[in-house]
Amino acid sequence: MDEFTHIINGMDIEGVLNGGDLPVVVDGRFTGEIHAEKVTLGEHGLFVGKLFATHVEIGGQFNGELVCGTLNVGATGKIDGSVKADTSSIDLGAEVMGSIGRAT
Amino acid sequence: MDKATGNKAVIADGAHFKGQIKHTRAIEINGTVEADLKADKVTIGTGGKFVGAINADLVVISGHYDGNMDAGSIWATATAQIAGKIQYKTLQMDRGAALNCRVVHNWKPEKTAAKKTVDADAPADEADPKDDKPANETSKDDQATGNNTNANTVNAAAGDAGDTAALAPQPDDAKKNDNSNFRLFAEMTRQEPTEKNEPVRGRRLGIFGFGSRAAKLPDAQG
Repeated sequence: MDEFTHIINGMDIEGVLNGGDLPVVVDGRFTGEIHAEKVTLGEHGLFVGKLFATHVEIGGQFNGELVCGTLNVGATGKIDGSVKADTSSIDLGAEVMGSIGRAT
Repeated sequence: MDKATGNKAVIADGAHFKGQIKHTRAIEINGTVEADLKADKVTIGTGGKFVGAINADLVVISGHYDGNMDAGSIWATATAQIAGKIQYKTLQMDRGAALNCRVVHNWKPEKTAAKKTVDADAPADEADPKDDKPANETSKDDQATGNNTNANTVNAAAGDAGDTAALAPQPDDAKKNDNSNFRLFAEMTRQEPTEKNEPVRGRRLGIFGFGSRAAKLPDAQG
């Protein structure tokens, strides 16, 4: 991947992001809504809101609603909210609170 | 991945963002963004489109921009298309760049303040010469500018009639000279606010044909 949408650490962004075909990486703070193909929430990332994507990796703090095809919660990931995923994996050390269900 | 994850935020090609962006150092926009942005460096890529205000030290534009930009340096590359307003200290424009916007040079912060006051004065300057011109020109101007032509005429009539009535307080004279139509007109219009027309009192009467008497009044008043 030579290009992707990157919300860098220290950045504070609020609104609606439609990522298109390219991946989205959130290392900063994002409040709002993301629609994308692939979303990665970095270790220092904070996401508040709704996230709709095909592939999601959570390494940071996620608050809100998550709807995705494939979910991978890393060891540093924290989720507080509702998760709907077709297939998911949660690494040792991750903290997940809330409801987990299937997307379809 | 790491080489791209330096310290520059990216809105990638095909992405669309609408909202607020804060605390950004450098950002590159290859997608579409509708936001207000304050940053050190902003790059709008060839396929990028940005709508909204930008406040930045350096802006490099290769795509579309529409909004109010205040930047230290602006570099509009050959594919740039800019609308709205840009304020800059240094501007570079490549052959082919399309600027369809208001371009303002910021000399210094103090000068911008001065410019604003000049801008604020501009409407007054437009208004003043009208009043200072001789009677004939004034009337022409009022009609030529089309600027509230009717309203001006009416106001002028109101003001002048009111003034005439006020300046000719001798009831005897009025009774003698007036036909009733004029008196009715004067009374009807006397109540109208006249402050706008006070500086030109009497002069515009030329329009109405009974200026010969009133035209001398300003001189007489001194």
